[in-house]
Amino acid sequence: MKQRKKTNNLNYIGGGVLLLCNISLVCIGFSSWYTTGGSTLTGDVSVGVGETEEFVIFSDLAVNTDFKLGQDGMVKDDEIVKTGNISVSFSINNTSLKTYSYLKEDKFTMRAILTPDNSNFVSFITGIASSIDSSEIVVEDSNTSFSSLLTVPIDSTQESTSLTLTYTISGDNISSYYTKVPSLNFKVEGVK
Amino acid sequence: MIFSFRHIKKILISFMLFFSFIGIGFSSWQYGDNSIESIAALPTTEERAVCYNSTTSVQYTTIERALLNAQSGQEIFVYPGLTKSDGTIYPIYINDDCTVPSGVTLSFPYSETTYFNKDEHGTGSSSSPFADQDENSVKKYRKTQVILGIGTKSITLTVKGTLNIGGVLSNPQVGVSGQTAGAYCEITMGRLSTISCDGGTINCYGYIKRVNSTNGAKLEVKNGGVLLSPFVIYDFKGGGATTAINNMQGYSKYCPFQVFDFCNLQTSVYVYSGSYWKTRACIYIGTNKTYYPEVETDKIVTFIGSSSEKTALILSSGYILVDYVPSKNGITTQESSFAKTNIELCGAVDIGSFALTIKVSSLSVSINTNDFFFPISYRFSFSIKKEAALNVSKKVKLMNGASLLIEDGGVMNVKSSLIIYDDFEETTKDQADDAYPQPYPSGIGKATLINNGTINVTENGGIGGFIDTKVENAILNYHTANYSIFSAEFGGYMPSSGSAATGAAAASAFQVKNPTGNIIESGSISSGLITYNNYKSVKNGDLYGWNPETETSAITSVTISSIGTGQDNYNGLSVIQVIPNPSSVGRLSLTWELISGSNITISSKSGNAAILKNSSSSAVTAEIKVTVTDEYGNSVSTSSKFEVPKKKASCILPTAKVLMADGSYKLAGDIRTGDIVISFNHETGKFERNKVIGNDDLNKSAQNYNVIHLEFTNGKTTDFVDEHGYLDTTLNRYVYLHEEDASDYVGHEFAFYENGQMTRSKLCKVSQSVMYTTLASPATANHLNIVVDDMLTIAGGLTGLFNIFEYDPDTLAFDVDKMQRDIDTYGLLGYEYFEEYFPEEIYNLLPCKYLGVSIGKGLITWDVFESYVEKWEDQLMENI
Repeated sequence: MKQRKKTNNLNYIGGGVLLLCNISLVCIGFSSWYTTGGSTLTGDVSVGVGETEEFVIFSDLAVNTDFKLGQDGMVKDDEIVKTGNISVSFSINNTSLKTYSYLKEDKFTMRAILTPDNSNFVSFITGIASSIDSSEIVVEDSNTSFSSLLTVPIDSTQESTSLTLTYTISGDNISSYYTKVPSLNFKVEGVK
Repeated sequence: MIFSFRHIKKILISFMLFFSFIGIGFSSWQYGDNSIESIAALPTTEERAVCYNSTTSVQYTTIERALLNAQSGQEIFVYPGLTKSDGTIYPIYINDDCTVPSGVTLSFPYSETTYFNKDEHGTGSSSSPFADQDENSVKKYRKTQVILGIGTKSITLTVKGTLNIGGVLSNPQVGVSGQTAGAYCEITMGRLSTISCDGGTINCYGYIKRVNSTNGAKLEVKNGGVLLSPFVIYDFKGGGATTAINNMQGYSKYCPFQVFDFCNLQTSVYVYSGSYWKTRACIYIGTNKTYYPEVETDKIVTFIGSSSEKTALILSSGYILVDYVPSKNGITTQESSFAKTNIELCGAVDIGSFALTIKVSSLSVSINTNDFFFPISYRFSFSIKKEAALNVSKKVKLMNGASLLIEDGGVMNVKSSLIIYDDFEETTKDQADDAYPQPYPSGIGKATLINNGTINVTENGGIGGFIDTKVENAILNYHTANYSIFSAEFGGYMPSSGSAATGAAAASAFQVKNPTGNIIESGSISSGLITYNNYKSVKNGDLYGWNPETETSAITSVTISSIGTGQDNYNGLSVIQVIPNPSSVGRLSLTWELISGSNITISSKSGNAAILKNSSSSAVTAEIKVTVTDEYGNSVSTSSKFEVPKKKASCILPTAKVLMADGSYKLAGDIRTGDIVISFNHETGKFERNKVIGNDDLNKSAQNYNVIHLEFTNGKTTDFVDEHGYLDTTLNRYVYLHEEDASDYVGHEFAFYENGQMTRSKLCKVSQSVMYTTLASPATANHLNIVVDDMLTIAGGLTGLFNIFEYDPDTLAFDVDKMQRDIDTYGLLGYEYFEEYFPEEIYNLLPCKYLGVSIGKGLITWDVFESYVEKWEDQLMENI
């Protein structure tokens, strides 16, 4: 296709314009897929995506729990437990932090928001901890989500920083407080 | 407009940048150039809290985990009464080996934390007093079912601490004493599963039952272990009679009960030397309905133990295997002919005694089997195995229907008196009424003593009765001194006078054979001392009594009975069975004969059963005669009358529209075997093409029927006659609607077919009218269901062949996990189980492989399945 763009033939150029338009449109479409589903991109659309990646601060998001919701509460190793953990792991692109001025005195501040689709569940989220010991965490009040402002040290000599946030879920027989199994929306965003 | 190449290039670059930025921008907006987000549903499990540690208050979803975490001094309580949304009990599975540690208690209470309360008893009056006397009673009273082991995995529950299995004992309104008569808990033992009481204690007031008698499940009571279960007495004569017996002067006392067993442990129980099987008596004796205060230590009667104190079977080495076999798996009944306890003596055993004293207010009565003959009733079958020895050190009577087999290499030393009953009729003293609460059953055959090993009769020993043998080298070593049989079988109920009995109403004949097989002595035991002076015909080492021509296992009588009720006798069919006496008779042939009953045909079946088929539209009373010939050519006959219910229509109208595979509709009356229609596959959760395997009732002539008309909120309507099945998505199972109950389902949602998908609509109206019509009742291969009038329906009269597994409420496919669990528990049946009924092609057309699950879950019995085969046989064969 690059060879086609270089041709002097007017028809070819017109065709190339249309083709690029199509590619761009495809790129839009795939961008949305990429963010939600992590689907792969083809080489044809890598032009746009290559630039996109430079904007990505976070990646490799994974959410895990050490319990399951049973009929009588949280179940961990066949035991009904009063406390469970939801761990959220992701990586921070240290290079992007520097490029886009998120890094201040080798520290990066971000806001992590855990939002259940059932607000009743928020009251069971009782704490948050970071895998980086010297993190500073400020929990922000909210009735519909559990929001925290986190400041973590960044080793700028490294390309990325791996971080795991652990939310504590506490309560007796929490399943009696909702009729539908809650879905959790987790979002983390950089703060300048 | 003309563009130069330069212009074109600018335009091109502009387009590229424009669309590139849009792409990045959109990505950033969605993706966030400085953020990332994800949505995840919390993981779920169907597990629920099934037990808790009363000390730590921690709840557990498995008993295994609770035991693993328990410390000495702590108690684990299983929650009683856990039920599923459909109201059925929530079974608790133990799928891994586990141990009740020393000092830890695992309790299955029937209510909160109560596993036994001596002051709580069953209520209500019933001719069959057991809490698990039938399936409905099981559903009502069984509060907890713990299933030990599934599938082929053999699970062992080791008890080093204490295991309590709760149950309510006795019911003052019925004649049986000590039985589980109210709420109870149960351990159901899967294939090859084991409960090993290894130094611990098991208190079982509920039940331990194996899934079936051939699954190899066992309960071991090892050295130091203690097992405690109810002492169930079927014919306790009451306090008055017992007092009178105690006061007898000049006559021998008799035991105020004859028939008992230990039916709460319905599996193979191995009791090893050094361990104990104790039993708890719970006997009603007072006019104030006060129960025996069973908490006193002398109210515990030891069935098997190493001590001679109040122990019925004193085991000094080896082990004793006790195997109670109920008439029907999972059910306990009072019927005399069925349940049997087989006891194998595999060590050195002495017969000791039961002894207990009952004190209620001013009434004090004692029962000590040392004072009279220890009764062994028809409920017991003993065998002395090779290298085992039984010392009969106490007076013992082997009553009608009981048996004792001394196997080759086994030894019985008779040091006291042993009576082998030939005949016995228990009556009251004045013959005025039956012996309270019920007389010893008659017509159940003689007691049998078969000696294929060695009997040693000591100087003070004596045997009265017929001794048989099946081998040529059995030995009777007999002391040459006098021997006597001391017997006083009054068997009577003392009237209110309370005076001592003065006469005997019982009669027991006995025979002893000489070495040539001839009967050399016989007589009737009535009362007093019966003496054989210097009888020396049988000497040490002599062969005796082997004479096949006079084998005593000849058939004596036969009875016929209907098998169960409800679905067994259903839809024009009645299943009956013959019971020969003795039940162990070697039967050569069995013939059925219809004495009377129009429109009735008899179909012989395998085993002892037959099916009566009524082809008329009304119930018919049929008289049936059966003749049984035993291996010696002896024949006995009996006849009895049975009501065979009318054959139900179980149909839809021939004008109903059946959805064909090509999307067209065909009238139900035109559907034929082999037609390809649409049906729902619950294994995949999808509608699919399927073959019609039959269309019942097509040959019925037209007549007036009550037609039930159903209307739904989606505007659809359909009709049925008598009975037809529909998928009730409110209850999440197929239901049979009938004329009398269809309106009960108004408001329920039912499954419909619409453009290849399952939809649901509520039943809003039920009406009926009389219509002169023919009928139809098509069914499909395996799934059986078919789409009629756009509804998912199933032919009537097929209970037990569907609803075998639970359905996922959303997809209506089988719940995969539960289905697998059921299969693991009950197994799949291969064609070998069905080859006597039909060819393999038919096996492949029916849900035969799941029949074991259905039987195991109590949805159907083999007899009912056979009746289905009977009903559908002709049509099924059209598929070949």
